[in-house]
Amino acid sequence: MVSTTAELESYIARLDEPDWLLTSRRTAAAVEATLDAPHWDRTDASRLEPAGFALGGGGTVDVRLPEAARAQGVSAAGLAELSRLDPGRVERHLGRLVPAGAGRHEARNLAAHHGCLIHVPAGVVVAEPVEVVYRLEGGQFHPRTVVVLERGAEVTVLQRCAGGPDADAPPALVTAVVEAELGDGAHLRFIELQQWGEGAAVYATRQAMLGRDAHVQWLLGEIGGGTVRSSTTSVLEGAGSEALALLAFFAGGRQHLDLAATLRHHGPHTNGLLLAKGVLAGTARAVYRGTSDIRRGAKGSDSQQKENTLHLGHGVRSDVIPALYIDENDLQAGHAATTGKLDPEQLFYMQSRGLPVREAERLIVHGFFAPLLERVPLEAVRQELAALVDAKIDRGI
Amino acid sequence: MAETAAQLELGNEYKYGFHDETQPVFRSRKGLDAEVIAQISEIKGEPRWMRDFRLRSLEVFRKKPLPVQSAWGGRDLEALDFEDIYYYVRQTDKKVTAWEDVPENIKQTFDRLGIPEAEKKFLAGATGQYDSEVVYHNINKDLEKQGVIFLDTDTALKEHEDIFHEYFGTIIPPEDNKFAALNSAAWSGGSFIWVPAGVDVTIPLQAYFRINSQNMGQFERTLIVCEPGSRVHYVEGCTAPVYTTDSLHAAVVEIIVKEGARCRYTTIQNWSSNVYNLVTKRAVAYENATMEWIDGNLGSKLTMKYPSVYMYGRGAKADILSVAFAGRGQHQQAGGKVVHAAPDTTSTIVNKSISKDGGKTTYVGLVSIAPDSPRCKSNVKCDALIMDDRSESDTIPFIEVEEDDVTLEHEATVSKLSEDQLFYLMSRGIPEQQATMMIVMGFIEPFTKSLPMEYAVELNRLIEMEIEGGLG
Repeated sequence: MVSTTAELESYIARLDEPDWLLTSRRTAAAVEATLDAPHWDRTDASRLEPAGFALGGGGTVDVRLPEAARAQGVSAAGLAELSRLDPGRVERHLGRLVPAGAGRHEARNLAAHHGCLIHVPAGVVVAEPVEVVYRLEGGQFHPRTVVVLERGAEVTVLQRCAGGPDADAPPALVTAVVEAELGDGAHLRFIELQQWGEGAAVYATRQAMLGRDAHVQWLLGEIGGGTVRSSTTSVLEGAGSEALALLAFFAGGRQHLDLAATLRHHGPHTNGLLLAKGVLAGTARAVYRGTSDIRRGAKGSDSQQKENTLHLGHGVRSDVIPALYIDENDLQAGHAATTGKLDPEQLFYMQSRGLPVREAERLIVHGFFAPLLERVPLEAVRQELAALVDAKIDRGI
Repeated sequence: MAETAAQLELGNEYKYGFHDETQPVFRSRKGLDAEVIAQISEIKGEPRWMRDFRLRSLEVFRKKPLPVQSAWGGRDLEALDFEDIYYYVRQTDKKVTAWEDVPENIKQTFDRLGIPEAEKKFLAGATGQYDSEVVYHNINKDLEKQGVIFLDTDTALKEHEDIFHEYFGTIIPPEDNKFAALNSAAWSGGSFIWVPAGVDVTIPLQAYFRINSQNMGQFERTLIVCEPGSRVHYVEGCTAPVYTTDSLHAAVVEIIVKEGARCRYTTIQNWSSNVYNLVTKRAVAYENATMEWIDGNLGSKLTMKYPSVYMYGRGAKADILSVAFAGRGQHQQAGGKVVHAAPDTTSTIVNKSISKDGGKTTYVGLVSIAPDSPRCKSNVKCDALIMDDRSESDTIPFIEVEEDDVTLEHEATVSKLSEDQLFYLMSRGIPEQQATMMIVMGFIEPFTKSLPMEYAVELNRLIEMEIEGGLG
């Protein structure tokens, strides 16, 4: 059941891939072997230790590129397939933003990845979302999504992460990586609906690098997973670039979510906004780490964070750490955080109108997430996320 | 006032940067080992249990790592050399209560700090700490009549060992952190206050602390016990002369506020820019008790200080109000911790920090709400002002909630000096320096208005000098 470096190497050796890709995997495996096991505060890193999970199993990758987008010159394909069709592009972008050196899980992901690359040529505006579906089967699964937007390109990527064991089944490990490169003036909306089974241990790293006047919008629905450690970083490198991260999380049962959202302001006049809303029930625990990091030279920048946590039960615990690191004086930065319970008056009002407690809670939870979802102009996505929330409430949180 | 003007001309030099040539009566050798600790205890003529406590604390100190990776510490601590410090210096053999009997050179130092004037005006009782031992002590007769005990900590151990033993080290055990362990091993001086039940001490109790010998660690230990229904306000001010090598100040302050009692602890700290100031301050508040920390941090090379209140009784209340000013080469890492461990407890943290001339301020805070503590309320507001493009500011709050029925709000802002405000004031004919001063004073106004008047005046003057020093 233990996957050692030797096992990882023999796994790589069995893959039918071009030599340069196998070499890249072996290099990442070698890097992994040199890195120490991580230690985190508030989350037990040993629960996500790759050595504790069988290397087989894995999962499936499904990429759906709208016909109209294909006609516009957009390409989206599995990394294995693309490595033959367009090896130069894969080699250029794979592991560029999230290299093996970023950490042991990132290294493991790069050594054993499945995944896809989405490329949008300069000036192409894609109307319909490009969809990526990752389905976990068991053991270890290492999906990696690489998104490359050339100058002025615009696209929405909708990524669904699902499947995997229930809370009481033998656990599985997922390391999920997103690398998004945005050229000057490019716009990316990246939506992820994370509903891995609650028996999955999940490590996720998402990173976007923004060129001048580029714009990234993250919408992350973190609903599934047993132990989840996820980190979403927007690097505002180009002048005038903007990032908006919308994070909705909902944890019940024994779930443990450790979620980080980071804005790195490097370029001048960069704007960032982190909005996080979380609901906790059962004996769930959530850690939310919001970070604004304003480097010297990011003059005229604005970095704001808002975080609201709603506690639905007695056994929950939430830790909120909204940090500001400021090396520049010509800026605006701030954060605001609140933690509270269901408003007893709202609940009473609804019950007095004949609504059972569960239905009243359902309305309140939807109302709680609504201001965040209103910022997503895709009705289908809003409905899908609402359905995930409903399903969770129906299962009994 | 002529002297003040002369000091101003020194520019960036520390404003109270005089130091007297002292001839210590006794000074232990550099570094820290069991022998030095036993020697300190023996010279002080302490009971056996205190000697054992010190030696046990020394072991804890040795085993604890420096918290360089923690948010509540940092890599700035790596420059500390514990072997290059004198852990005990005693200035004079005898303690005195009459001002006339205080040795002349020590008196001069106090004169420069304005203690006699302050006393004339407002003092209830003054305990000036000159190096490690208290040399001057005077307590208001009214307080004595009320049964209030206000002594230096060493004397309190001798005269009130029973009360002392009951509370000492119970709020901050040596195991708490490396610097609390160091203090527990090497402590000397500080204040001891015991207020009997129902007694309202209407005028602030004040003490001055100073570090005077080069490379000398100073480890005051302050213990305040407020019996049920009592009230006290303790004011501590700090100032130290400039030296070329670094000094270490690692105080421990323990406060017990019993049912319905109220304690306010005000500090204006202005160490010179070579001092490491690593302080552990903690209070416990029982039913309906109120604890207030008013904490002003100027000066020092590195300050790490997080006044804490643990609310153990229903209806307890905590207020932490702090201001930090970091100038060139300084890092003020100040914050606060509130732990809600009982129902209906409320807390407020207000932090204002200003960085300038390459200085850095860091707010590190904790709000923790324990399970089964319903109806708690907490409100935190942190504002940072960065005065120029060489200065930095970090804000790192931790919010930990294990109860569903809470109302918790946290808010922070970081901004530069408002050009609009500055322009407005200057267009009204106010010179830039004065306009800057007005904006800064407005920024920290919530803090200054809660200080006793003479401290507000002193703080205003100190900040004025900091701003002038930088602009000039």
